[in-house]
Amino acid sequence: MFWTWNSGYIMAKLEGNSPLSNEADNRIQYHIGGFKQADNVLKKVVLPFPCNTALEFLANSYATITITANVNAWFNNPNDLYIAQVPVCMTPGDLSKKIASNYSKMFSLVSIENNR
Amino acid sequence: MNSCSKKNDTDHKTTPLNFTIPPGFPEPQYKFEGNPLTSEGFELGRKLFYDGKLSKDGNFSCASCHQQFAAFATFDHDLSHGFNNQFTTRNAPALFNMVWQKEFQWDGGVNHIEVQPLAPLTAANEMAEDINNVINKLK
Repeated sequence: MFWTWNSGYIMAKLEGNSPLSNEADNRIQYHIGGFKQADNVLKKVVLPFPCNTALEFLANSYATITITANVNAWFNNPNDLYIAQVPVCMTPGDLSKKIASNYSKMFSLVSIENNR
Repeated sequence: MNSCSKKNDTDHKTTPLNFTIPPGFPEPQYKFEGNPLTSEGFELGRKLFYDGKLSKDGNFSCASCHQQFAAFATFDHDLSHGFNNQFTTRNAPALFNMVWQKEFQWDGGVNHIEVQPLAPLTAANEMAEDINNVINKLK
């Protein structure tokens, strides 16, 4: 998704409905973006492999890495996000940065299957 | 296509811009006599259209909702949005053939294009500004 040349790409979004939202259709819309200097929400995420696990490639085989994303991570740690207070994020800025700090922790590595 | 020309200072030299009515189109609704088309007026209007300073926090130019790549409506969102993460209740109308329009805005509540910009400019959930403040910022 994209806003404009000035505000740039929407890097991540979470949309849905909640009875706690006072918006039209009880919608929740968190569109997270911003790339200019202080507004930048781009995150680098490093997922450590489980102990004693390596990625192995033999010729003519492939490996599968399974990663999961926990949606709940959008709503806390380090920034508490309450739907009733903030059902919408639509621009680069402080709110986007806070939510990006939260969701940067949403990924975890579940498994690695080698030599399939 | 109409341009958002402003009144020109008569002391400045301007370059007339021709507007040709395409074959089969009716006479325009807009009267150019009080505000003749000029290249300079056209370019000023276009520059202001893309200028975020017309909004309270500098983020919301006309073009933020009237996106050129979407026929000047808002792309990929059902509702347009403005200042402070607020939604509006519609998508921004696409902008074309406005010189033939008798009414503007979804409800037709504005009958002259020269005053239309005041509506989004002063709306709290759009550009959230005051016209006098905008003029001070632009000076």
